[in-house]
Amino acid sequence: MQLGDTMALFSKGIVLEQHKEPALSREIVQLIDADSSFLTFTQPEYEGEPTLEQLITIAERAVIIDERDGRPLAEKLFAASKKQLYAVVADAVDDEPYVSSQLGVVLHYGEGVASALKLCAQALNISKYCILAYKNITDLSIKLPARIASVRVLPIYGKYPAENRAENLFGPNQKKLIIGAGALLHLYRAFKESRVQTTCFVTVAGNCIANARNMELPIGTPVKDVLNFCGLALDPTRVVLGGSMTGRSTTDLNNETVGITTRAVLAFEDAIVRRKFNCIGCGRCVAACPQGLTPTLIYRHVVSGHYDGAEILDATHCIECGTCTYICPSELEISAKVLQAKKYFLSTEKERLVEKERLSANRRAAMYGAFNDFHSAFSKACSGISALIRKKPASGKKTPAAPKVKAASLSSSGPDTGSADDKKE
Amino acid sequence: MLKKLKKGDSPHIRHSEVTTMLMLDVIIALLPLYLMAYIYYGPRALLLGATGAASALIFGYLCDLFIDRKIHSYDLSTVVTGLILPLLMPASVSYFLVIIATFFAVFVVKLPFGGTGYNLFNPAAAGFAFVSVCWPDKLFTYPLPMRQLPISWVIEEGEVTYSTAISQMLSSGVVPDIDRVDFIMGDFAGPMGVTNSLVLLACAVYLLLRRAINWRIPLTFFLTSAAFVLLFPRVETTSLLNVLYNLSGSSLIFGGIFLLNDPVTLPKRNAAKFLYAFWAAIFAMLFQYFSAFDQGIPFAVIIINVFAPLLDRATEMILQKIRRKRLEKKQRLGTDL
Repeated sequence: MQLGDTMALFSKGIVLEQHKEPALSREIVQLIDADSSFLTFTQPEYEGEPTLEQLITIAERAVIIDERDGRPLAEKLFAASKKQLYAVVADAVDDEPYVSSQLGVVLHYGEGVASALKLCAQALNISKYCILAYKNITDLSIKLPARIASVRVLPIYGKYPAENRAENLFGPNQKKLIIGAGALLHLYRAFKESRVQTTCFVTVAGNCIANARNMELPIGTPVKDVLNFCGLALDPTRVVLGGSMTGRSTTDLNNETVGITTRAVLAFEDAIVRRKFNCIGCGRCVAACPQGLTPTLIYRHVVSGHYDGAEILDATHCIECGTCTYICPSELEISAKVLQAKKYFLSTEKERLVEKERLSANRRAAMYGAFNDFHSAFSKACSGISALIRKKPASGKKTPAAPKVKAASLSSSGPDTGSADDKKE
Repeated sequence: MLKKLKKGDSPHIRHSEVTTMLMLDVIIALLPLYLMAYIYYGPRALLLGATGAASALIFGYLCDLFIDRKIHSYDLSTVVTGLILPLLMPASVSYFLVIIATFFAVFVVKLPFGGTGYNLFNPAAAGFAFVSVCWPDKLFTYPLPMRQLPISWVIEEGEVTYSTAISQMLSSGVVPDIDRVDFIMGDFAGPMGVTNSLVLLACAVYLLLRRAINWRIPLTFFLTSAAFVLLFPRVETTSLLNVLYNLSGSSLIFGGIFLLNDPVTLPKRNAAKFLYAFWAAIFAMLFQYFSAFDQGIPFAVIIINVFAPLLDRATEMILQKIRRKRLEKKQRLGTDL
């Protein structure tokens, strides 16, 4: 168990400033209608500690879903009972900046998480259990306790994508069950108070949020209500559901709701609109990629539409951590393109053909668009020069020349709209 | 409120470093070399540099107009090219040659391939190679340092005292006789900015600390060329002096730091970088030993640039096997539940 994170020093990745602080140290707030203590279920009968079957029944009746991967907790426990396990781990890693919904739960409701973890370990008959937390070098103000209610807190050190390193934590061959901290707290509440899971834990933060904090919200709260509760200090240009590195942005705030796997609502304002440059091949993304891929080459293959050449680059190994886009000094959307390649290689033969056709059509349109632009500008210049040289009215000749120029400029505007995607690159 | 909302791909936070800053670092590293050139050759050195930078900016702007893109000159990569080119030339060179070299670098080496980031060859090396093939008599006669050069457009006969460079002495089998301090400070005839080994190494340290260049390239390059000189010495002196004369007498140190480390033409994988620098050193030394010109490194850089994608491809083929084996093992064990 003390093997811990010895490889963290040599891990590839990026050092990220965490910005967890204002949210993490404040109490977790509940929205008024988050109180669901009246929603209860009937417990199975047991004396003292519940057995595994009874624990699974509790998790099933309380409808607990793990916020880590979106799978029902009962299903995970059942799958774990079939295998020889080494350890049960509570996941409070939260390696993405601004997000602290799991770590906040562990720090504020540590007792509940710890006792639920103990329950799981006893039911599965495993002696080893711990809470996993991310200790970042930039976060000196956050103190992780060594033990929470006599359960050991195991810190993960090192650079940003830390969650994927949890796999090798106890040696290469040891199987383990990882449960999110929020799900464990819900399991504890179900065990003690027979409460059904109706809420989820969400961090509300970002440079536009006036009062950054961790909240316990009813599942299905509209994002707009969440933002209104915490207050906006600035007008955000981007609202993100999920972590700052992997989440998705949204514009429809009234219809978007908070779910169990959301974990964070972030509002950002980009102070300066960054300009994109061409890729200069500096190799920052290659040095940072935790999977050992070559993001810059995959990016180039996808942009130019040569998917077949990218097969050797193993785009399917991508874990979508977003490290390459973060570090890129040319501000290119590398990870989006790598994801496109990953989707392409995981799709069927027919879908691949459609994608290829779309790309080549785009490229053709861009080429003809550029040619038409050049042609219309050139012909205009030529007619202007010839008119200057001749210095004649030439009314008879001018009328057929005019529609020609018009036709050229018209045809140039046609494919231009289709090629907007390619012209950006 | 909430009217400026836009969609965007993840991640939603970005690193503050921008390409312009990377290029600015290289420009900052070039400035001490111009200071040394000013001390040795007077204001003409600075004017040559200004000519290179200004013409590079103008050509870069025209280039962007020509291919109908947004103006990309803000990334300053053309300015770097324009500043590197005069440093490779003697201070007595005509301003016209600097402009021609920049023109060739921007319009022939960069533009047809798609501008910054897509060029196959290092623009500065190619620009220098072009003018050195066209005007070898002007480019390989070096003025003596510590004598002020006139700043006029054309230098009259007899206004400058020329001297033999170390690389020229070595190729004719003469042992150079230079004071140690002068040698380290670069106080001997040669191209304008490549003789000051001490300043060059200080620049390299700055660039390494700013992560603008990778340590693998210069280290492999210098070690390989030193080993080459030790194996095949050209003149009969101590082996240390032989290495020093060969490395800093010609533009090898400058080339290993500024020409070879151009990120656009580098291979992207670290293993390929070692091979790249190794073969670049071999080619550079062969050019030093057997070519008619005494500055061979730009030609070696052009040749090795061609092989960069191939080296990358070969490394990728090996890495692919390692990656797939690792993933297979992980899937077979299935440690995560």
